[in-house]
Amino acid sequence: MQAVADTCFLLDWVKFSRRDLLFDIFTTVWLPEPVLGEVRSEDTLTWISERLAQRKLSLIPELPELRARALSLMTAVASRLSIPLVDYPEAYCLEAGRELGAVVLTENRGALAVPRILPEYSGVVVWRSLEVLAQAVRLGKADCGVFDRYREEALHEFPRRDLEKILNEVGCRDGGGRGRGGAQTH
Amino acid sequence: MEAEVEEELRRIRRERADWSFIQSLPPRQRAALQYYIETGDIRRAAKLAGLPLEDFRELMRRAKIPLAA
Repeated sequence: MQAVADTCFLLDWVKFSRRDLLFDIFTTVWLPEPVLGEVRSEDTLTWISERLAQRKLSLIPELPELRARALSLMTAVASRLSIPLVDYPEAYCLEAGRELGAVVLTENRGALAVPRILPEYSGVVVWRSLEVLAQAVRLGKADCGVFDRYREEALHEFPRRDLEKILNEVGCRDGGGRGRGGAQTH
Repeated sequence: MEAEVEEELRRIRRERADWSFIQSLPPRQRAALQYYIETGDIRRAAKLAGLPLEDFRELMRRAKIPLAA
């Protein structure tokens, strides 16, 4: 399984002490150049450069046809007031994911809504860190405490409804998701 | 249902934010964080702050505002 990571996903994921879990789930994680261009901090760049050297991460160049499609997607989303806006890097990731058949990793609620709202994107799989963590638990690569650990280390929260659903699905009803803001396990 | 989720995430951002830190910031950064808390739109918030996205995310961390999605 392959993935395409967007900037908002990446900036929080790199704060997670178990960030290399990503490569227990995906054989290749693609990083589009418009996403790489937004990364500035030494820590994040060091992690990216090391994983590029290990060929766990791979770069996708900014291709004219994907760029054009990404701009069209931004326009389509902007015309629908019910969806949060999608910006160019996220739109490019959605187009790259559609082209490669790869899971799109994002924390952008507009990008999350696209497969649900636009029929031509219904086949694109979009995951947040929540779904990545759930997959790590399903594969036996992490235990139920991984959800709380991620929320604390990345300073990240999930909607209670979504967190509860995932905790139930992966059998973590009593082992993860306690604490501030997100789902309670009682 | 989507509106309920947006309201829940807004509540989380409001409750977790370090408001005394936010009030201590220059007006542009303060306004940008308040915009993010209310809308969850990190890209436009970063533009309001005049900061690159990653720098704005760090400012959010200093203000104890989670990225909620």
